[in-house]
Amino acid sequence: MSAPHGTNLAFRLNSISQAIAATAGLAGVVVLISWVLRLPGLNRIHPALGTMGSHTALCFALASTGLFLLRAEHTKSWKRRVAQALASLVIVISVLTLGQWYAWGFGIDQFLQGGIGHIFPGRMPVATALVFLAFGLALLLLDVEVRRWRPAEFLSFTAALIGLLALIAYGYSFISVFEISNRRPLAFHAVLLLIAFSFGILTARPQRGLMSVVTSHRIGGMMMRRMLPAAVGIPVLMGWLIMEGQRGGLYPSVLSLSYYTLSIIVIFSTVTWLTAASLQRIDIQRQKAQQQVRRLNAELEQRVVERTAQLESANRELEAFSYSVSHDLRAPLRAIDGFSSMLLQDHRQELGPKGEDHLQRVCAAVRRMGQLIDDLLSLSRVTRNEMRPETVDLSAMTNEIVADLRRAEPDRLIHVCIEANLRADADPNLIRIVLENLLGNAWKFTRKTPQPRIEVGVSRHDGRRAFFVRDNGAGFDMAYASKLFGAFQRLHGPADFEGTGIGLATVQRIIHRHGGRVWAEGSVGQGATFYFAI
Amino acid sequence: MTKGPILLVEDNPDDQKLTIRALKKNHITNDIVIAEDGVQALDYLFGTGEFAGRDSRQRPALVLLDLKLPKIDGLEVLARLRADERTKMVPVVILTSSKEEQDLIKGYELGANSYVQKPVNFLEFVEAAGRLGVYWLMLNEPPPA
Repeated sequence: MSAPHGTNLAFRLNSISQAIAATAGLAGVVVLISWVLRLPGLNRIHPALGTMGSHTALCFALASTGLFLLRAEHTKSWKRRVAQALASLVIVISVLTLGQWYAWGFGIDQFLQGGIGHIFPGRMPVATALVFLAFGLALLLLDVEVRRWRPAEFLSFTAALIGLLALIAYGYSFISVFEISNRRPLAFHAVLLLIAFSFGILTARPQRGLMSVVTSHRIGGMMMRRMLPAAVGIPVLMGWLIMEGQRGGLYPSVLSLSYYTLSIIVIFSTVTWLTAASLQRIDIQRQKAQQQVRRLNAELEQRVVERTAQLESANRELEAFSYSVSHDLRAPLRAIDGFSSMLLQDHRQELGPKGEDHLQRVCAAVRRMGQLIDDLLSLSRVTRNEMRPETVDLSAMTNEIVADLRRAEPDRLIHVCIEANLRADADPNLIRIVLENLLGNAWKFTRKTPQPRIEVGVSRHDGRRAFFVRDNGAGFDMAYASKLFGAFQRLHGPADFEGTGIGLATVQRIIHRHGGRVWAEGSVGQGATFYFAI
Repeated sequence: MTKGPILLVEDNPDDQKLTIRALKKNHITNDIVIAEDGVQALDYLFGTGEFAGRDSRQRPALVLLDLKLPKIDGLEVLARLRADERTKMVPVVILTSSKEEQDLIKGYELGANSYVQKPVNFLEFVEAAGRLGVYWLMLNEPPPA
């Protein structure tokens, strides 16, 4: 959505902060040079707007450098230390200056140049000293945050308010308010720089503390960005207009405050009204969106319920189907086999050798059909039963299965090598079917191999653990690898190796149920390796 | 040898014939009563319906029970037979095509004494029938009458 907006804005604000630091720093250095080289004119814009003192210039240079060094939040430690040293220097200068004004004389104002008469051009006005004290502390505490409250922000606000007061006074009367109270005027350009610098400190960390509200892409941020400029700008502008009106004699001076108050009431009511209206619009949209989400959720839930019911019914039908296959398909087979056998037993003479051979073939086909039905049922059972995964010791299971195979065919000498401690999270019954099939295949297809060998272990494929069963038997042509796992797919004729072609389909179905993958490598006469990763 | 007839509950005439032949091949000479559905089986056992008047105290030596039957299925027959005083101790062997887990579990739950899947291969079937006969009619001591 508009998440990048907040980040973009933050990035722009941070750039502004850097620009302010650079400008204030440059201005400070230029003024400082003019004082040191005694080049009048560079330290003021217009005689009426005052002169920036040398210490003020020095403090601007120091504080700006500090702010510039601290522009990134995760700044290098040496930069941070230098910036902190500069900030401390600013604090020392402002504290000593305040001391000079009110109590002790350390002669801070004689630093850089001597006094001329009773005017000490170096000495900062009290207000400036206070502002720089705030700046120094703010820079020191720039990244301190206590429960989302940042002292640097409050210090900057204070400095900005002092600056704003001076600026408003300049704007309304072309005099420095502080001239009256503190014997030294604030230069106009110094005031502008002070306000800008406060802004620079605030915008240095646009996504922290109170500033995070300003840059937020949420509704609070939007309102803040709309209201805050109005809150600052409108009273200043109105004050100036009302004063001009009074100066121009449009109304008696006693009424100007009333006009001012009234105009502020009108304008702020309007702004508040407009903002409230747009908030209302947004809220209505949000509510609509919420309702839509709720409706979609309800629809989705309804759909899930329907789909589940469909699936359950499909499952029940499937179950009924296998049940019926199991019961009904076998009975006719049994009759064919039974009566064929009876014929063979009771009427051998009449049948003759040819007839006997035909009947033998009928019986063989029936048995094969019976085997197919059994295998098909076990394949469907694989997907119907509930899975109960646990940690299975594949090595031990392999040993048991191999022992069974050896018992069934005691005269076959096969070298079997099983890696120890093969463990997997799987349903023990299902994974046993997998191993039985793979080992049974390896057992079967090494029948014609002179020195049969079966290996069971684990290897890495694409960063995943894959168990494997490898044999040096008949193997297969990789061109048909994709057909290996299809039901009733066989790569060997029944004359070479018996089988129904269900085993690997069952293996694949079980591995898929575990969310895993099964594949094979091999070549004709060189043996085969079956991998499964679960 | 335990006297009394064998009650063969089987709807498929082929299977009836095959079973009878398999039993004969194994020299089991007990009478064989055939019930073609669940209703007939229960009528025979309790002397009702078409078997009205039969002395129901004459219990069969063995019941060979198919599961998939018209009208009343095998499991229901088993349940009713076990619920009745007269027949609750009769040896019942389920002899059926399926070895579906659900059938096995329900069969044993309802008190079947054995569960045998009819092999497709007739020679195996003959062998199985022989073993059943030897065990239930010769080796096994029947419940006291």
